[in-house]
Amino acid sequence: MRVAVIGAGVIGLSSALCIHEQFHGLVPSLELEVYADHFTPHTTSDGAAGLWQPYLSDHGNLQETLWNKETFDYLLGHMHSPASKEMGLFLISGYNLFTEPVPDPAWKNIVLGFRNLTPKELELFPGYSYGWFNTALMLEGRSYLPWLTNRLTQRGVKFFHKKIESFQELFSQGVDVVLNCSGMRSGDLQPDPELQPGRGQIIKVLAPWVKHFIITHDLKSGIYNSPYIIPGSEFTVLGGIYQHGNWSEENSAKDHKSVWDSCCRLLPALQEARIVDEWSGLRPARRSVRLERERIRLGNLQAEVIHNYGHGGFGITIHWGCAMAAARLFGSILQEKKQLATPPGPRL
Amino acid sequence: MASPKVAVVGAGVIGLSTALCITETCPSCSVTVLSDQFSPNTTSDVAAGMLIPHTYPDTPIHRQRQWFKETFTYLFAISNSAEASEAGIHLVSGWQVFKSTPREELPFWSDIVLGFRAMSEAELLKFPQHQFGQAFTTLKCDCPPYLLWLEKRLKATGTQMHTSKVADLWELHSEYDIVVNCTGMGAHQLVGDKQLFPVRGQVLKVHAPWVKQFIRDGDGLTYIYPGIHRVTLGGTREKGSWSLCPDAGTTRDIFERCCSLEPSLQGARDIEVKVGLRPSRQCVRVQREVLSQGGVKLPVVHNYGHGAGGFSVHRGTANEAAHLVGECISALKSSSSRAKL
Repeated sequence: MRVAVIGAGVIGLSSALCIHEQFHGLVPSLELEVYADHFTPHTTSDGAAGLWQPYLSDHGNLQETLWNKETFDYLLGHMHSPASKEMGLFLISGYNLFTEPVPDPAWKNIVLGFRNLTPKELELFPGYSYGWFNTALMLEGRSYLPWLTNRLTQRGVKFFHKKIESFQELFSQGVDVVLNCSGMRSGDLQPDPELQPGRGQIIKVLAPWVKHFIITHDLKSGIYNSPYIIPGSEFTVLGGIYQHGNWSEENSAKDHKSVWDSCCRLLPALQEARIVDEWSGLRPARRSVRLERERIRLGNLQAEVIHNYGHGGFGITIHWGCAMAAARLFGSILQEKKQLATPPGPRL
Repeated sequence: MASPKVAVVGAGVIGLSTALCITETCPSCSVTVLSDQFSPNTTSDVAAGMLIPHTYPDTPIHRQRQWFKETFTYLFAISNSAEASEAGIHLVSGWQVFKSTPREELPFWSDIVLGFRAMSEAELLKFPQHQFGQAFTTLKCDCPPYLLWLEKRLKATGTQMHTSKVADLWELHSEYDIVVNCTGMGAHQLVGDKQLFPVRGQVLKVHAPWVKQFIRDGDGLTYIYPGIHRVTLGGTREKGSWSLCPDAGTTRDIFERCCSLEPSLQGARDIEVKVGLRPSRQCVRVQREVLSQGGVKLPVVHNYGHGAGGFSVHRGTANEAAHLVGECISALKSSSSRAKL
């Protein structure tokens, strides 16, 4: 049973790990392969700051809220382990700021210690009159992706540095199931007008005195189009750009100025911070995550694809819940192919 | 007395902040800081500089509260300004956890720090050996940066700073009109204060930049305080011990205790061990005194004995000491005008 995962960002690698963990004992013939043209540190996941935080509203998409919760709980469970440092996982508290009162987010009970900001705290942020404080998690792609890669390599999963041009390409080689975790480039494998880039640009600075994340919101401009400051283990990420439909991965001077000026207004001490890098990336945005099976007819072959893409700016936030869901879909494929007597899980 | 000459003895956080307050309240004063040690070799440089007050048994609570509030307000404004990183002042959030629920669930400072509340059940799950906790956001003064920033502000006012060991306050009476004693543990010898005793603290300063939250055990013995470049792991409270020598067994013990609160610290690097003697007293001595010897008078303002709480109350006590210096000046002026009659 050959399974090929396309994409080596957080979605591809975590889906691969989840499937291998759950099924390699039950399916002795399971062979897992990861194909990608970009590996860490050159994936979209590597550019993300790594803060666990969903968007403000789930638009009634309860499924995604549950996947977010699964991910948070899974990561929180790893906090006791000394491996957390290697994973790039740590707790962090911080502020979400608004210019007017807003309803509490769907994730208020998922994070730790969620509360409104006190008047004294709001004094720190002139121009903002309302906000939240909570403790969440950071999962830095630059550590997490190598950690996932190590776990997969230990398990005998093979990696191929190759751009896959079509699902056919893999099926004609004898692959039985393809996991499509190709993020922004999913459209190259199968057109999807719902998948659009949400271009972001960030500035990485040295500002080790910043211990909290600060995310401002401008309800009129939309998510991530208002300054944010996210301190990592080495660098602090300054951002605040979300351009729907913009495919450019070039850094823009105008966006640089916008991010720099607005973040320095938010935290005046940032003026002393040294800029070490700048990066632009494309959030693979979609109205909802595409996580579903698709049966493709290839001659007399029934080829199985599991799509797992379109995670926008919350890929890290939702990744494990999606990986588990992808594994469940894989389980149902195995059942249908009679590779499994019963689905994995507690026996009645 | 056109330009009173004030000598401030001691260049830790108390000496430097007191000198600065004096230049602010008495711009006509000429201030000189004298100390045998300057940053990075003061007791203040060993401390983490967390604004979490220590309770002095014999100082009235309202006074401690006032000192803390003034200090917090002062530093809060700096943390919010462009100077924050140079001054080493930053906000930090975290938890104080207790193995059993403390008698006093609301400390006197709970409304001065930010966002103080009891920890939720979910948060306490991270600490299986602890039953109760408090979550809040407070400020940290990183040293050396904070002390160096105070020195820079002082130099800008024309304050002189000299390395010199003052063995007797009377050495200073010919050159200075008023002496301010901010000698911390040194006051034991310098003014013979037997109520002052050391409480030895050993700490580890480690490289663990992923630690963004502070964690403190309510017993005060185990704490993890993330600073700008290093995390301070502590500690010990050894009453009566004068030893400034790091102890290897203590280092291992501190590291183990901190790792049990925060397992990821196993990955900490570059462990630096430091020892400081908290200049402890039942109450902080912020007091005026006039020393007398052979008909000569020497006005002295004492500001020492802050023990474990120096950073938490430094600005408040510095303000009070500066105010007392003002009183000394008035007394000198009125006695010199009386002499003219």
